[in-house]
Amino acid sequence: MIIAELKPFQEIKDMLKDYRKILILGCGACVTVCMSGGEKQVELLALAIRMARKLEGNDISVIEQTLLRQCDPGFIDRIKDEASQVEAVLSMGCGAGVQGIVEKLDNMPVLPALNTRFIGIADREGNFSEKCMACGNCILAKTGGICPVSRCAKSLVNGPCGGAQGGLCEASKDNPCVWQLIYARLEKLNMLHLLKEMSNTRIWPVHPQKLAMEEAGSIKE
Amino acid sequence: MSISAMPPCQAACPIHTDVRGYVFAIAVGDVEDAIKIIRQVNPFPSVCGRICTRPCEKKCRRGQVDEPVSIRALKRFAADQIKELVFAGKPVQNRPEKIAIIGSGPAGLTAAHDLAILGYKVTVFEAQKVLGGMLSEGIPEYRLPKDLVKAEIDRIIALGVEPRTGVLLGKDITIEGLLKDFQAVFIAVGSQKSIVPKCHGSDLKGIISGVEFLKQVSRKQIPNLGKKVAVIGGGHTALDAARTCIRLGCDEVTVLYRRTLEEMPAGKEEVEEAEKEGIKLRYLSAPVSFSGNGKVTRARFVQMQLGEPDASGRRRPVPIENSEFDIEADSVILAIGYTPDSGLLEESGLELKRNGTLSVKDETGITNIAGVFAAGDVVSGPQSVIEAIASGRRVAEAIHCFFRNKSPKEKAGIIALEPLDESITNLISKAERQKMFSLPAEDRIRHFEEIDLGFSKEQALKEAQRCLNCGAGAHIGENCASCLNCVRICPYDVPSPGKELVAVDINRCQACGICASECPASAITLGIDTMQDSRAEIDKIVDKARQESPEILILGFYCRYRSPLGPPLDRDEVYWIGKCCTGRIDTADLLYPFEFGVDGAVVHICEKDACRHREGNKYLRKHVKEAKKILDITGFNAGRLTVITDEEDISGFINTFDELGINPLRKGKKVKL
Amino acid sequence: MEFREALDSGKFLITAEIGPAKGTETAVILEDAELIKGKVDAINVTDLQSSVMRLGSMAVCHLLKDRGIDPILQMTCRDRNMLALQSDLLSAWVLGVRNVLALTGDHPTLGDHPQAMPVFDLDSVGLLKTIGRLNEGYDMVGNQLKGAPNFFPGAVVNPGADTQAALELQLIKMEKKIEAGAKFFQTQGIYDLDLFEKFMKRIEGFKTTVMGGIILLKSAGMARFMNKNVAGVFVPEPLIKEMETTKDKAKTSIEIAARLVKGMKDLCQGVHIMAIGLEKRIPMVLEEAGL
Repeated sequence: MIIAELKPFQEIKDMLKDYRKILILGCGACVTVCMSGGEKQVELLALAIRMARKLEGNDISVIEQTLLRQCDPGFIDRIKDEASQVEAVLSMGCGAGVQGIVEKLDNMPVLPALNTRFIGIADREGNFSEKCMACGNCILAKTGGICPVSRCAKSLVNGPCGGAQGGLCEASKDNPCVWQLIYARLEKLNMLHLLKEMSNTRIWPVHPQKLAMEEAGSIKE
Repeated sequence: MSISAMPPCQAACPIHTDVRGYVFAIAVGDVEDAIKIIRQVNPFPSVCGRICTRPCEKKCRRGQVDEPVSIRALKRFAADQIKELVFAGKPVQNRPEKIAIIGSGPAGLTAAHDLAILGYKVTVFEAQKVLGGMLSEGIPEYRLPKDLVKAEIDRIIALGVEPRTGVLLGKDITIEGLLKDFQAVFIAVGSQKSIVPKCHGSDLKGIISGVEFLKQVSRKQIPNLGKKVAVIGGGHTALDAARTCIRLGCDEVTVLYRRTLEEMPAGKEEVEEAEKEGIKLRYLSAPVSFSGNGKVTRARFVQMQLGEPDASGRRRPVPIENSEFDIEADSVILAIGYTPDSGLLEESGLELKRNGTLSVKDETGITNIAGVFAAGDVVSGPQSVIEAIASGRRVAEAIHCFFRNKSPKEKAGIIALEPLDESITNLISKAERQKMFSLPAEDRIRHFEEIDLGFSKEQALKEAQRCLNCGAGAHIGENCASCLNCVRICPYDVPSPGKELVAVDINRCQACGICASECPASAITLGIDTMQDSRAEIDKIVDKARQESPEILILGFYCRYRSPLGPPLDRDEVYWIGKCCTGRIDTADLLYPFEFGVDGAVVHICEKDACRHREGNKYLRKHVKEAKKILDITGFNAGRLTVITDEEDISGFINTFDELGINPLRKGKKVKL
Repeated sequence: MEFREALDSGKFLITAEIGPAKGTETAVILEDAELIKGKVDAINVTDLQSSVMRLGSMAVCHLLKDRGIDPILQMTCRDRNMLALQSDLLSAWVLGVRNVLALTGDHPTLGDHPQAMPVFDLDSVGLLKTIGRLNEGYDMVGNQLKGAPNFFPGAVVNPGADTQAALELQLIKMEKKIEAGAKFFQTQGIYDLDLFEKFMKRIEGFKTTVMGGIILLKSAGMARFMNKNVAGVFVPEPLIKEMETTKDKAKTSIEIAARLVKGMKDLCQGVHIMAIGLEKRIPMVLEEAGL
């Protein structure tokens, strides 16, 4: 799931300074789950923006809406009416969502209220951590299901560097050295021999990437 | 509220009263709304609030935690508080058909009420001089004051029903005759003929029917009972008769019943009260014979023992050989059972069942004569008031369908919520059931004043708040993104991840509202005390303040469970909103008022371990923290919002406004307020 | 004699390390290099050590070559993609560099440009393989070279890895490096000869050349700092006490280092001395160690 975080309020306010009528658009998928861009968040942000602007003596009118997803044009069609009444759209979706809206509303500014952070999962308490970097060439089968590309600061695929201290990564002392996690897991699964195989060098895709609908799930050679 | 399962109280009620609805209305102090809800289905709230047999309380799930909610007493409270007709069900339209109702007991009068509202012309024929049947004449004053009954009957008559009293079936009117002038006839004459035991001497003077006795007393035609009275029977009539005798000055009153206390229809509570008043109870005693010289002086009984169960499932009492005993009795009151006056009915051409009650097709009350309906005790034998009211409603609908050529509404299968399981009952905080004040026994037997005094306002609110609001809990709508936040935070561990959405088992949810305030998709709606309710209240308060124009306007939220009687403290500056647990107040609720010029907001919170839902106060504090941060960031100053646990804290908070000043939106420009 | 020849001869190898300055000034390190010229078999030049922006290793290696000192070019994967890595290797050869130490490199967050992009297009194993390919006359993707180098590649290993998993992973990677062409290894600084002995026993089967790392201690404070912040380095308490209680820090520092050199003579094939500014002491260390 994509994890995104609300931008600092001042930054959002600055983006909106020239507008007096906006639509704040929430998204009912990933950002609802990570509680940064769902319907409730839309309500709160709208409230805060209106309050702050009222205080400045520069009222702003806000329409609030939340779509099931912003990453599909079918959903965005539903707010074409509301969009036609405003000067700008503030999207509370991830970076993809913002651009999904741009594809359908090409005559007005679409602004991002969130910073998209990473692809990750939740733990029991609902805190999120990065697990995947969309490298496009998944090697989890060789690393016991633990990804060194996204969870090693240097994205090393042949084993760790020598910089770990006390099992913690040299680059950020509250992260474990993921290679030690991989080792422990492969040991548990009796699959340490996988470590001796050479991994492929990383393949860097050319951005922006595309994927046709038929390709994604098709059984290829 | 549309829910697929009914709370067990509502399901158990023969007329499916929205118990939860009116109890909640009382819980939040809206007694008017409570009586409106009750009167939607019940034209006799004062009566039922006193003498209903309470099938609802038997199923009340609060009973699994500690004791059932005093539902009946709360109905009485609402009826006693709001005496003027609030729900004036006016006739919808004028319909041409005329309907004759024979018998003005609860079944007949309820049907009259419903049919009059539908617009029909109803005439009620009553053999006695007063309307009301058993309500007016068969239940003692100390249990059911007659002025209350009269008031409720008057309301029904005021709908345009024509009463014709002193009219006897068979003598003054016949069914054949009525069918000439009326398009339908509803027979609701009840079961008032006493069953006489086949005993030698049962025709002696001084042996009277219980119902007859009670009627005579109500008409102030008090018979001479002597000093010692034996009452035979185990139902309400038997005890009513016995307790009436005590009040009339009899020295010795004994109630004899052929089974044990366990099986006694009158119930343990009544028996207890009767014993307090000096009445003696003897169980497993059946009459054998009566003796006396023209007038009874002695009654002979035999001891019984419980044998094999009979068709009803109850163990059959069997006489013990050679165990007869005698009781001296100046009067004997028979209250062992009643049947309709079958002779009268047969003459009219109506079919009867073997036990002497009237035969009908089904609950629509259709008899073997076209256009003639019957319901109530005449069909079922003696039943409770609420059953009579229910049957009256059903027949009224049947008659309406009969005229309008409709088929009666498909009776949707009622699914009642299941009993709670231990995993939930262990988590619900206990609260003692309120005890209604009643007159002490020694005093009350000197007169016929009403024994029970009803709940005080404080008692009623506290008792109503014991209700668990079964089935009015969280409903998760299709916006749910399965973030599982509610699963993580529910203090009762109720939500569970489903295939698409998270599911809340409506059986178990305690309607605390914490999940709704925390749901990022705003996907959760509650059955009670919703966010819309809050916003509407806030709007009302802001409007009110607009008129009063206070110097400082502070919005206060308080917990209704902590302060059942209303706002916890009185300050001019603070306008209060009560919530059923402050945990349901979300961050937006706290900020929204500031947009409209409120100067400050305060939440009166329960102490750490005192929250009814155990975690509500924790989430409230979290939302307050978030709101304060936003107040700072947007330039309003976090100091305008605070949480207090103590009355003293409020002065300190209000004083800070000397420096904070009014809401900056109120300065300069004329902003609404 | 060039480093490669020294290794092939079987003599006990001695290398040292110098780190270029942040700027174009080279006088100081060249001076330090002169001091130990002749006493060591080669001198490593570090590559933006600790991710701090500095003068590059290649330039200094070239200057050392001019002064008749055999340099070991330290090349990390932190800053260059595979094009730059290959190109710089060719450039280094042309400028006279013959020995390369292939390293992964510290993460940029450790240095003074923490926002710099961490490239790591290849890792140390990949770099060693690349060096091997270039040596064969081909680039990484198989194009033939017009003129091929013949580098003598080495790598690093960390016997002081402080968890079981970390140590096992070091050993697995060491094997991969050997398979990828590494001909010699220099270790992180060692202070515990028993631990080092255990390590050397474990890699007996690898049949490669290992040079034990020795870091000259400046003070007790430095020791404690390294214990806290440098992965794989652990200065035992007795040695810290020695540095603390001594009246002549320099002397004790040299003594300790010499002791370690002597110990390593029996355990491995050479020593790699990291003086970190104290290059002037290296001759004294060697003298005391009897080399």
